[in-house]
Order: sequence, then structure tokens, then C-alpha cells
Amino acid sequence: MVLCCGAEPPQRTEIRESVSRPRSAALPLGVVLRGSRALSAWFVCAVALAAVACPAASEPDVAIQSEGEGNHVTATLVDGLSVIDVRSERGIGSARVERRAGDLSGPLALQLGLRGLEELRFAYADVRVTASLGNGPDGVLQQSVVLGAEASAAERPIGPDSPYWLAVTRAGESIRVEVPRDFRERRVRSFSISWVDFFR
Amino acid sequence: MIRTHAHRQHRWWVSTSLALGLSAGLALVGLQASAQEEADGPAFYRVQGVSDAAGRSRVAATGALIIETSADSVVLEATPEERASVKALGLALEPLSTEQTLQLLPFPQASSDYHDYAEMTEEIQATARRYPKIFSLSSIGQSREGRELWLGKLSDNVAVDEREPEFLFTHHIHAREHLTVEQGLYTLRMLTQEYGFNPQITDIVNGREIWFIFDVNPDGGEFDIATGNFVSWRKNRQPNPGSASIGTDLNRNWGFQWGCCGGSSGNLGSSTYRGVMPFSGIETGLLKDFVDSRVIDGVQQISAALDFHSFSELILWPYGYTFEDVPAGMDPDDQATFVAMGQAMAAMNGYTPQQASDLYIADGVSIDWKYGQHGIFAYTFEMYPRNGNGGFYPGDEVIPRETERNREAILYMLANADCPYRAIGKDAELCTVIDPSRGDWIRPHSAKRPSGN
Repeated sequence: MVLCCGAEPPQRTEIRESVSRPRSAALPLGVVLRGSRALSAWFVCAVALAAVACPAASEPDVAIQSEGEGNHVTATLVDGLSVIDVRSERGIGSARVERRAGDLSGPLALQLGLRGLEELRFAYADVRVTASLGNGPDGVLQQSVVLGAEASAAERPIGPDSPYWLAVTRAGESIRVEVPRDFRERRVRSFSISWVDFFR
Repeated sequence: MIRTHAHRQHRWWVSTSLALGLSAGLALVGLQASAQEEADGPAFYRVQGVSDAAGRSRVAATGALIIETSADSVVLEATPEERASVKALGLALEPLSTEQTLQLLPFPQASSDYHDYAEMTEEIQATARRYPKIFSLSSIGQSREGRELWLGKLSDNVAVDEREPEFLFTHHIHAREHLTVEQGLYTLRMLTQEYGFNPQITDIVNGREIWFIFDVNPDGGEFDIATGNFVSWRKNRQPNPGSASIGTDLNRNWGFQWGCCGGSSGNLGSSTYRGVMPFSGIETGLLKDFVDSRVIDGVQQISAALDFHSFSELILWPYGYTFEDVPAGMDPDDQATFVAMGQAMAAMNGYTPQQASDLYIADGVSIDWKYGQHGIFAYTFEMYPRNGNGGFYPGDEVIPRETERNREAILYMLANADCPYRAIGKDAELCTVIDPSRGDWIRPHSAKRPSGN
């Protein structure tokens, strides 16, 4: 399922949403209010109504397509930082994020609502980065990269100094991932992610 | 012997004491002293020179609890009074080190109805003693740390290798998936206790040779509970030479499409580390040897298998290495049979049936090898829970419900092990009657079999 909406959204306002199962028609798509002040609410609603009434003024620039039962992937803008938020009921899934106008070179992070992260694959252009947060007493963050689209392309481990390194940190009940330096510098328009909280 | 509540409570006390001690930063030596020299409570000891049932019986008669047995010794838990009684038998008690004691610790208190390795061993040994005509116990070898990989055989005339369709249950390949051990124990209880009373089960036991590997990965399982808290360990405990990383994922180490397709890791520290080569995991190598040994006169005797994992509530069939439903080398009738039987079982236990790769690509997995190499109709059951809440460690109160939940599916698989093609209505076409008087059929192992790799 693909949903999208316009660029330059209000801050703290959810701007993209994708769910992988049919949604209730009663659920709002697009702009979702996250503030509490009445004035802000009014302003955001006005923006939302404008977006609905004037589609030409809200040229979609990000589309999110997710796969896997019970996966919800949304994009939000928080203080200038675009955050791709992943909620995954079963802990396994994938998504593709594409900006339709411009590129994704701006500040971007992933917020994964997962209890574990035994595998995260972050792929763009011909680069595929795999990160895993190990479990057990010797659990550590490990990453590797495959460069090149060929199936035979070699996988090699990388460290924090690598331009492909994903900065992964636990943040409360979720896991925060910052995209690689190489990703931002390439100014690509899309990327895909797949995640496994725990291998079964 | 069944553990008493008092023993459980004591073991919880030892666990808690050790955990508190560790958190307080006490030296392990000091802990050893506090744990082992505690004058008032029981403690753990190895006793050499106990090599047979008579010797073990004399020790057990003192009231001490035998936890582990080996060729010439036992490990026991004994109170000071029991310790004196054992000494009176002329036996010396060697206190276990703290590390050894930690290895013996049971599940966290909230999960105390789960069986650790010693408790599982006790139960299956007791079953073998109680039902010697239909259940025998042997071992396919020892794990890296020296634990027996128990092999149970259930059948009438259990000492005889009869010409009957064979079935293989495997459990606990992944250390943290403790509920799968309970499933094995449930299945064994069901089939032994109802034999002779339940006609369906009596027919199954009489007409099949049923193999159980109750615990493929005992070292990993014990490590997962060793501190009194779960550590989410998945792999075995085999060192990886040249690295500080420990363990191989025993369900990425099988020799069919091993490491082919991005469904495992070559990284030594990864949770899905595939090993240096197929069957480099000690435990997978032993299991492979056992399955290979069931090829008699060129025919694999095992026709169907269930491999229990957790979690997600899924029924998975081959292949895991590819998204293709029917890749080259797979017979379409086989694939249709996998789907039909998987769906039939799912209707019984409420799991979701799907091809293994629908979960995620995984290569070098056991069901791919069992089918790809041997033509075995091999399934994976991913047990309770469906979602991450509870994950690998659901409370022990779910054990009865979640193991019985698979009863009908298990009986269905066992009943159809003679001719899985019955599920697609092709039994007459694809199965051969080998004993019409008993109605036993067995599917052909012919050119239809995939060639493996």
C-alpha cells in the first residue's frame, strides 16, 4: 500500500504513512495531529484541509511501501530531522522509501519500534549494509557491507569509521538508526530496509 | 525421579544468591564458598565411582538428588545429612565450582515448570524405564560440552528395526526456544501413556518407528539459563577458532544450499553464523549422521519429520533458501503435498501455514536438507506466541495449553507418515503397499526424489 503527501510539512506532524493491511475507512490518512495546543491544532488541520483541497499544492515527495503483516511505517519531520518510524507487530518486515521530488540527502534517521534487532538491512543504489545487535552476554553491534549488485559481490565487515556505517543506538523501547554518511553524500532518492527483531 | 518443590526452591535460592553476589561484585571464589560450604542447605557435588544402576540406586536411597550421570560418576544435590549418608557409603563428594554450579541452575523462578537438561533427562529416562516395551533411549553422541544428545525410539517391538514408516521429531535446535523441549515431552507422554488405551495412538505406535531428539542443543539451552536470567542465546556453544565469538547457528549449518542465498551469516559473531562448513556444528553433524543412518538398502526410512522452534505460530515447509515455490529439483506433487498437509495441520492448531521463505530467506536449514537430500516431508513448527510479547520466554503456565494445542496436528502427521501423498489424493498413484494385511503403505523413494547437492 502506498500513501504519500506533500513536502515541507509542519513540524511534529506525521507526513507519510503506510500500512500493509487494509485500514478502516474511518482512520485518517495523511496528516495526523500530534500536538495538544488548540492553536497548533487549528493550524495543522488547516494545512491538512489545504492539502486535501489543493492536491497541486501538496506534490507528493515521499512514498512508503511496506510488506509484512502488521507493519506500519510512517515518516515524520522532527526539528528538521526526517524520521522513518517502523512499528512491526510481528517483528519482521520490509519497506521501501522513495522521495519523488528531490533527494534524501537531508538529516534522516530510522526509529524502529522493535525489542531486538538481529538483522537490519539498509539498501540503496548498489550498496547493502547489514547490521545486527547481538544478544547474549557477548552481544555487540556488528555490520557488514556488500558493494555491487552482483549476487557474488563480496560481503565485508565494517567499523564505525566506514562511510557505510549505521549508527545504531537503543532509545528506550525503540532502536534508533542514523543513515550512513555515504548515503547522504550520494543524494539518492530511495532506499529499502528489512528488519528481523529476533530470528526464529 | 521428579524434582521436588523443595529442591526447586533451593535451586532458586542458589541462583538468587549467586546473582546477588555477582551484582555486589563479590569474587567468584567467595561465592563458591558461600554456595558450597553453606552448612544448612543442600549443595552440588560430583561423586566418582558410581558407574551403574545399582550404585546410583544406593546414592539415591540417601535422599540426595542425582542431577546428572556419566560413565563413572554422578552429580548430585545433597543436604548435609544426605552428604553424610553418601560418605557413609565410602564415596567421596567433590564440591562443584561456582561455574559448574551455574551450569546446573534451573530456569528462573517464574519459569520453573520448564525442564532444564537434567530434568528433561530424568523424565525421558523414567519413561524408558516405565515403558520398556515401546520406548527405548540411546544417544547419537555428545554435545560440545559433553551432554548426551538423547535419541528416543517409540514403537512396538522397540528393539527390532521393523519395516515401518519412520518419523523424526527434533526439538530445541535454538537454545532460547525452551518451549520446544516441553513439546517433545508432551508428545512422548501422550504416545506412551495412551498406548493400549487410545486406539488411534495404539495404531500409530504399532505401525510406525518414531524417533525423538529431545534436545539438539543442550549446551546452548543450559547457557541461556545459567545465570538465573535468560540471555537470549540462540546458537550452540562451540568456540569459533581465531575468534572470541562463540557458537554456530545449528539451523544454518545444514548441507543443502548452505550459505547460498543471503539467508545466513559468515560473521562469526552473528546470531545466524552458518559455521565454517556444512555440518561443522558438532550437534548438526551428529544429527546428520543419524538421519543418514536411516537409509537402508538405498531407501530413507524416515518419511516425515517435525522440527520444533519458537515463536510466531507458523507451520513452515521447504524451501527456506528461495522464494520460488517449486524450484528446480522439487517435485510439484511434493510441493502440493507440503501445502495440503501444512494447511490441514494449521486448521488443527491455528498456526499460519506458509513456505519457510515467506518468513525470511534462510539457507542451510534443517528442513531444506531433510527434504532436498533425503526426500523427507519435513516441517518446522514455530510455536507460541504469535507475536513478540512473551517472545522466546512465555511463562510456564502456557506449557500445558500450547503443547496440547499441537496434539491433533502431530497425530495427523504421524498417521499420514506412511503416505503423505494421501493429502493430495494421490496415495494410490504414488505410494506402494508393502504389507496389505496391515494396510501399511510407504511412499516411494524413486526418481521422483530430488537429487540434493
